[in-house]
Amino acid sequence: MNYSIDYVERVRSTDYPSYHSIPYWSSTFLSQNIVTLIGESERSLSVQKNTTMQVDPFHIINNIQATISVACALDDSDTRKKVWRVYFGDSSLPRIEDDPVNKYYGSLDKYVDWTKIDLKKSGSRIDRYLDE
Amino acid sequence: MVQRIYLDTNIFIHCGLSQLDQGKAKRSKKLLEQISQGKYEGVVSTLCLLEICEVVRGLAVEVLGVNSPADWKAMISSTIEFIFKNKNIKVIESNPEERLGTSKIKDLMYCSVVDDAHRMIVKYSGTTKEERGKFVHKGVGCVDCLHLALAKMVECDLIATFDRGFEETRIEVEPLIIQDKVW
Repeated sequence: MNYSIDYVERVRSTDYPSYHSIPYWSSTFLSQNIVTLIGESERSLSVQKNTTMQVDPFHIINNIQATISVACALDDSDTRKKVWRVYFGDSSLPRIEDDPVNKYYGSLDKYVDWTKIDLKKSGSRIDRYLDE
Repeated sequence: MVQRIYLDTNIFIHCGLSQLDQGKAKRSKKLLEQISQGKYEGVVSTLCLLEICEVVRGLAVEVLGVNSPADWKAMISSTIEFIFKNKNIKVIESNPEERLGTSKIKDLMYCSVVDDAHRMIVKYSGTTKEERGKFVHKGVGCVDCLHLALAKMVECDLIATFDRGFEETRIEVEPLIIQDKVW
């Protein structure tokens, strides 16, 4: 039987907290099965150990059940332009910076007179805003 | 493949307002630096951007005494600009066009984010706890369920937050509780 990589799966097992990415080797028949199952459950499904092991050439997943979902690269270019326009009108999108974090870190502090703020007294109100 | 992290609103607030809580500010900065360096892929939703507006304005006016609209507007603009200047942060609203893949897979993946959020609101109701003489709800909030549904839709591995309410929903998306993270 000929096998080919149909697409890359990201697999979240019940044993591991994070997703594992594996190339999904399958026959056409198997691939159709998986696609049907995804269709039925919309975005996730449980697979039995044997099923998983048969199609995982690297034996990454060896627990009894795993949740499989389809990997997707993200293209945010249209959303980015649309959102930027809402906030900043016709001004062009900002240049991507190598290290924007250092410039942003603490940059909002200058708007606040911290000598007038009692953080202990304001703690619960701050927590409420920050949902912490 | 790097892990994809959905970023909660409080990450940006703490990084920008470093005097609010210096420990949380440093941890937020560290995470955002790691995203900037390509160690993670960050995801910010349009819901998060709305919350940034709400939280910055509310904190500024009602807690921090920033009464000038020009000032709190500048605080919001700075935060949004920062997000857009970071090459490793994707801005998503969760429409099918954002998810690259075969058309068949994209179609199969399409489902209502709102439906999923409502399902989680029902499933994870949290609990109540007495704090400072008042009963408060402890658990994931209703809007947080929409964050979770968005994070799931774009396949985030983790959701970075200071909000422990997300611990209840770890089966949906694993929380990265920043105050517990040892860098």
